Amino acid sequence: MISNDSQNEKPDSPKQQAKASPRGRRTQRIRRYTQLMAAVLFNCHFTGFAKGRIYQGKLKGVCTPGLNCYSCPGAVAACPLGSLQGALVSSKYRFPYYILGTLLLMGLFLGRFICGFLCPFGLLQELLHKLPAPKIRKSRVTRILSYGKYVILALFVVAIPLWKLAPGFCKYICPAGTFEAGLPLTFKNKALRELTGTLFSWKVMLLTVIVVLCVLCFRAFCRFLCPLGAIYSFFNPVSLFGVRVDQTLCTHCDACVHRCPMDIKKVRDHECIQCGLCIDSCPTGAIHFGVKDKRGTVSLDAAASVAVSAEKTNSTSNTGPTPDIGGLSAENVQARRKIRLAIAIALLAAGIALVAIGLHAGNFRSVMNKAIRICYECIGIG
Amino acid sequence: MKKKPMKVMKRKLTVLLAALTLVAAVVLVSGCGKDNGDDLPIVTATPTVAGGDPSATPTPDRFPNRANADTGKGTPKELEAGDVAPEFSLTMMDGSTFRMSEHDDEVVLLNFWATWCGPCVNEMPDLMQLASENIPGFTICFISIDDSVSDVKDFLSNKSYNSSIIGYDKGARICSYYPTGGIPYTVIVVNGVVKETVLGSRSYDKYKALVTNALSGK
Repeated sequence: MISNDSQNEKPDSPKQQAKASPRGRRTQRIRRYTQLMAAVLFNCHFTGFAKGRIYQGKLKGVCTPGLNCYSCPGAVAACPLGSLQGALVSSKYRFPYYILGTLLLMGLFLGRFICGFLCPFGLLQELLHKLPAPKIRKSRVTRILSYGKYVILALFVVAIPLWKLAPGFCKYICPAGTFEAGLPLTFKNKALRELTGTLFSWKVMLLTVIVVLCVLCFRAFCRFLCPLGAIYSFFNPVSLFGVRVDQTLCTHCDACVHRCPMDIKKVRDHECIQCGLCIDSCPTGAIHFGVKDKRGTVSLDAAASVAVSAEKTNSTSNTGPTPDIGGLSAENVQARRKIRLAIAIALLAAGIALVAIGLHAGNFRSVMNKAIRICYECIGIG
Repeated sequence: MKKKPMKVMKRKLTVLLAALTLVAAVVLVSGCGKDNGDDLPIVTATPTVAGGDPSATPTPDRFPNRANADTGKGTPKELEAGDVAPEFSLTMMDGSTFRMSEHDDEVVLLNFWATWCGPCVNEMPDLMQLASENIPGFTICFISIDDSVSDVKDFLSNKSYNSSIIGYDKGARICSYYPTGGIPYTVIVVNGVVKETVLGSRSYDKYKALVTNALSGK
């Protein structure tokens, strides 16, 4: 697993970097600027850091797309994951329409593009990975570990809040909460420092382990543990914006998969954070960012699996006409695009309805209330 | 030659994006960026009453400049030992009314809590036990900052807590005059003056010691 044992080319090796085209370098530069801007924008209550106090304005009823602890003194909006857990804890009294609708809409529009471009904690992990150290590359083991985030989602984000009435992920795991909120708040506030105990020590230790892991392994937390990424991964196949693959150009050489530092099996699968690193690696220039597919093609996630199976069928039977696009007939392509569109429209309608009902039911105030008068349990204190 | 204008355009777009983000950040910080207390109503130009005049004669007007959550009088600020406890009236879950100024000759423990706050709910039995001891000159008032009064009613429906000492702070009226960044938040008031503020949950023994200490120094 350590850097010199794989036949795959090291994704972020100097050799590969040197190969990057100006277009690829520009994409990554834009991505880095976007990540930085998002991190600054979501945490622009700068005086909070100096005073050790959190922002208490009405914006705290709005969720950021990425993981960004609302107990952070700089945070001006709510964390979607913290809000979801808070809403589930209170779900006995009211259904969490607003936060579910928000997650649905953000997932539908951007999917895991959010992880690649808008998550402040994702940026931090990437910067940590730049530190010189032996690197653990993706393998079958990391691919298996990447399913860990779904277990954490089910257990700590859904089950514990529902049955134990505690924000399980925030309380026991969230390294973003410890880094952005727990440490600065206890540093500035003596009363809170006196409250720290075993739980807080556990969270600091976990943060340390995750930081070390992130130095050794690209986006270790994002890949193996982050339940927000797990939520957005469900939307990756239907998200309206992100990386697209032109099937008329794709040769299925898998250069994109080898280039990707995440545990993907194909572009835009549930592990793809749509960072665009693969764009540069494609020998035919088939990958691009976009809202919809070029020249009437379908996105790879929708088409590739069928394309491959169609190819296999053709090669075994060796009969019938050659498929038109990426192994798919034109009719199949149209049918799949229609299905994808129908799913997107249904999700859009459901998202808007959930947010509207949630706003009517006072869910906005509920999210804001929990984000401006935090329960110290959320950051592992008390 | 064809690529150059595109390159320039994209660079301009990046700069524009960066500028927009910075502008948005500045707007957020200057316009909306408020920390504890800044988002709270500032009603009159009356000087901050923090501290008040604790040595004044105990009369109904003992603290003439006292902040009042009911009328919006005074500038809310984070409370410290020595500040006059802002006046408020609170309808309790049994229908009775708790008025802060009516307890100016007692030790009062104000506990800000919510049904969704684990540590708040966990320390409640200890505080209830303290309340059940009927210590002379001592009163407890639980102030819920939940989303609605029905949450508190539902919570209490399967508990045997004394509902006459639990109230719901509608519209965060009281909480805005007793600002805190987090809960559980407990304020111990002696003779109308804040003796101590406690962040986070505490055990029965700790609360008992705080109350005994407050009563002895009355």
